[in-house]
Amino acid sequence: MISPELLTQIGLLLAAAFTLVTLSYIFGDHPIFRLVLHIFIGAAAGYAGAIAVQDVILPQLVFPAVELAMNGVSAIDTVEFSIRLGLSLLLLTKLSPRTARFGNPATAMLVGVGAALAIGGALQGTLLPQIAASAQTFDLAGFNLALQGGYYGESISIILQGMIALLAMISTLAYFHFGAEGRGKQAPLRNILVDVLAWAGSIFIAITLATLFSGVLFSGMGALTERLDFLRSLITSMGGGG
Amino acid sequence: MSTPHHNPDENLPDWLRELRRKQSEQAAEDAAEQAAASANASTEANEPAAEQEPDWLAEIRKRHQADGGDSDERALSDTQPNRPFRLDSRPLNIPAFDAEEAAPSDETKARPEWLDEADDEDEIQTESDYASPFGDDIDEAEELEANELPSWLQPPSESSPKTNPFYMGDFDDEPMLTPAEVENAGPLAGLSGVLPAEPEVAKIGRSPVFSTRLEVSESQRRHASVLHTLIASETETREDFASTVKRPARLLNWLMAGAMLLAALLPLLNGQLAAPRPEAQHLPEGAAMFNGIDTLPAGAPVLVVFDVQTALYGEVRAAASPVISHLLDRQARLIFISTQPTGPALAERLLQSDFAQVPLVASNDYISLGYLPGGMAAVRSFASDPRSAPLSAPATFTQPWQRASLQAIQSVDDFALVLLVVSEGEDARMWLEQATPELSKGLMVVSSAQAAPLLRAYLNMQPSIVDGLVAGVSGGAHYERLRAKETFSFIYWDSYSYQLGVAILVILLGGLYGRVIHTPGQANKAKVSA
Repeated sequence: MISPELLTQIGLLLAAAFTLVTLSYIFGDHPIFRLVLHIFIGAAAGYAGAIAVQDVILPQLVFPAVELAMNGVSAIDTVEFSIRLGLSLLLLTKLSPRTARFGNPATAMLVGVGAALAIGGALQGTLLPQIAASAQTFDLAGFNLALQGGYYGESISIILQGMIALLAMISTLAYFHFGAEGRGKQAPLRNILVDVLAWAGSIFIAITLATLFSGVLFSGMGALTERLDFLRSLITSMGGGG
Repeated sequence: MSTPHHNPDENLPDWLRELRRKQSEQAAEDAAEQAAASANASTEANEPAAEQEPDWLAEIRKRHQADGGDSDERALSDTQPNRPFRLDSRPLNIPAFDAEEAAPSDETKARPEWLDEADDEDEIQTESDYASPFGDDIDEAEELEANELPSWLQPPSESSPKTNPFYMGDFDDEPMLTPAEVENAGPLAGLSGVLPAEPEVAKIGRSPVFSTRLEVSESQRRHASVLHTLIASETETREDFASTVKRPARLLNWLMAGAMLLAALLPLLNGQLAAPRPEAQHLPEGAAMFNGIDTLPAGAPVLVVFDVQTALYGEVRAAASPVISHLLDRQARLIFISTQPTGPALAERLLQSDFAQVPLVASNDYISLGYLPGGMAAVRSFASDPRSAPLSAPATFTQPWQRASLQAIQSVDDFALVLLVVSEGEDARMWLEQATPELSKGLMVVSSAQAAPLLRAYLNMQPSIVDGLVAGVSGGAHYERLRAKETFSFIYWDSYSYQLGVAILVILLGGLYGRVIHTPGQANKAKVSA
């Protein structure tokens, strides 16, 4: 019987080996890296499957069914349990192309509920609050306070910030305006004002994408630091350096 | 436009005219001899020589004669192995329509169509005189009436040159196809009714002039031009720089990777804090979170949504650990939940690896609601009524809602604080959109650096959605600075800062290399190749 301490040590060594193999991708793709990649994917998928069985299917469906069959009563209401069982069976029919159409009602319910929640949530939680925030681009209250207090630099800063935010919003929207007026036999051309705004919008879009990319870079650097610290700690502990 | 009609032989040299005359005479003599020979052969073939037949053929013949005298020809044809079907042997005269014959008998009704077709073919073959391939054909062709021939075989009428769009008037007037004419040259010499080749080749005349100008509109011409340009650009061969760039690029990759690894590793090995610390006023959203947690009463229930992907756990840990530490110091009752299958395990790992010595953790005075399956719908359900949400097995077995710290929780708004710990922006957005309608106050968010740009849009909104944000290693280091309690985030900070410096240098040098060194080199190559 393997002791838990030994299992922990084996796990740590495996983690260190996998980390080094993953870092070896610097020298190019190789079979061991691919093997480790497959192990990662397989382990993640297997763990998710095990969680789904252990934490969802068994306690939500199988155990109540067994309880109902053995004792005649279940912790879950019979009607609710019947709905769960019925929808699950309908979804199972999707396994075969011949019976797949019977699973359509359950799938339709899933998709419909998901779409309704997504649209409602996006409107209520994202779009409307952000539109409201955009309408308050100019902090007029702050501007008045700064002006009354004699902080002219602050007041100018507030105005500039508002103008930049306004320009960013309008120009970004103009970038995605693809309407153009026909000119007979010549190629259609956008309005020159829209064209200029779209050019400015492309700059703001580039800045946004660069920000997102820098976020990914920062995340990678943080993860690399954590892995290297793990390797350092492991080597120190194995060397007895504590 | 009419062309003057003239005899093409006038333009021929004398020797060619003499040769043509001789060929015509020779062809006529050959045709006469072949006609006579084929006539004799056909009469002989119609009299089957019984004495020359082998026994097995005689047996077949006898059997077929017993079936009916009309089947003689069929019996004979049955003995011929794969006799070729010739177009010129097909009878061109159509028999008169007989209603009785047309009505199918019972026997023919029962027979399949393919058998009828095979019989028809046999009849065609037996009716022809294959023993004499030329003689009778010629006779039959002479007997044919003009209206029985297909149009393409009929000799051209006088009006045909005018109606023929390809007739330009330079050809001689002899018909293109004369069924009785015998081929006098080439591999088909001696055959009659073949399409003449030599006159077409030998004829000398002016070729017709066709207009090459396309009748297209200006718009069509413009579209064609655009298409032509597109295709031309696709088929242009470009110089392959891969071979020249490959080796330096790989070397550069190794150099950059080595610099990044050194920048990350040296501060960890050194263990001394050298990089400048982030200023408190630079991250006001972190200060808002600090103030929100610092004012929590002891024993306040705090819901921690731990939606962290395994790959980004290392980074999120640097940001989440100072915040969890602060909560534990405030003696908050932590209740963990996750919509990720790996979330509960990672939350447990964070507690056991970083806070195993804290009394609340050591005494298991925290609750894990486990995995919340169902994605967006489950989040909405949990936000509306946490007690009825389908929770995973650990929660079910331990009956968390019966514990004292959760007795007062009836809705998600009863939690003193809801803290999202997320690695992906989309996971945070799901909770923000589905849970905030049920919350009278905003959420606090700890996230990875890559999710931060998306989440900043939710900061300081009215109504309040995100009240505080700590993102990435820098957010964690900043939070520890606020707490004046330096743990591993500060150890990470040096490594992170040096990596950032190396990344900036690499970007600058890479841009310089591309603009100053590499691009002019490519331009020179392009000039040379041009």
